[in-house]
Amino acid sequence: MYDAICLASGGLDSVVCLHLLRQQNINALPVFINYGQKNHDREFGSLVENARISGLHQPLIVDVSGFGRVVRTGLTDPKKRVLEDAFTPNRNLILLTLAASVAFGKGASSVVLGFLSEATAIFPDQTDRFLRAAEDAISESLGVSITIVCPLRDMTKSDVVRLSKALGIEQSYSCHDGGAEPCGKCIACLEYTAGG
Amino acid sequence: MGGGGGGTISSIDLSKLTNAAEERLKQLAQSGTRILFVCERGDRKALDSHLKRSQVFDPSKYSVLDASDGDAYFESLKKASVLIVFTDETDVTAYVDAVVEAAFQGKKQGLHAKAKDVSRIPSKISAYRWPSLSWPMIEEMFK
Repeated sequence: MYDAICLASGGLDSVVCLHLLRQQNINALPVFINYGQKNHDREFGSLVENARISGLHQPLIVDVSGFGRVVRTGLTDPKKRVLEDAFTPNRNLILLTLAASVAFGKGASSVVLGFLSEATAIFPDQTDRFLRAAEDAISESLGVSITIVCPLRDMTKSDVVRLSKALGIEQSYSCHDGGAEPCGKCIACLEYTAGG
Repeated sequence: MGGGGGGTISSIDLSKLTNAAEERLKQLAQSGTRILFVCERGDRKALDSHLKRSQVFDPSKYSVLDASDGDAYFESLKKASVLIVFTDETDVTAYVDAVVEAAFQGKKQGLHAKAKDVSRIPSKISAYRWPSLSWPMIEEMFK
């Protein structure tokens, strides 16, 4: 029986979430969503490797990669600019909706995700207002209460970097460009560099 | 996943932030998946037997009520995240229908577990289009 579903990309934030969940003895199923992101292979590989090293549950994959083939942005299309064209319409709503669908199917009533401090949100689908509205819409759609939990909501990237070191997390992959080496230009790389 | 943002505003007291994160998860743990099984009085032995044999359901994460427990389900439903209605050989479903109605009003997820193909489907289960599944299918769902 799972207590929660954790949206997991293999990036630092979601890996930290998974470790914190385990510390609290919460049985959470990591769900990886392939929405057609360019960095899919490396993100997923990082998540699987983290799960293997740390003894976490292996992730469940939800494949909606067709989304990225139609909705072309800096995250899904190599021809787009990885930083300036990063906004991917409804991405977080889709991720949350799919995770909640998995939760419903497993009898779980919580979805955990690695959103950081709202003060540093860039896009409209990263705000508290969005989260409350998404929780309401999902609960109304399912007819049951689903809670969205963001344990890292008070943290900035630098806090998460420090916490990950304290937790002994040695590797993760966040670069939106999907290359072997971090591009240094995308939002994730810039955050990581700034967070040091 | 789902992130982005998180830039450069720095925080000093990591332990305070970590405590806040853990507190959010503790609340989740307290309200984590808890199942309420309900059945009519005559099906109680069969339900207990199914649960005793189950390798899926953790006794610390479920409670069981039958019609002899009266309206105790109101309180039990508050703590439950999922309601599973069990029927085996019963012909009456007044009690479990009342629990389904309360769960539906309280936005709780609900399922029907049939011990046999011919086990009766409670009318409220049909009315609210809740899934009616065999016991092995229910166990598969919660694995």
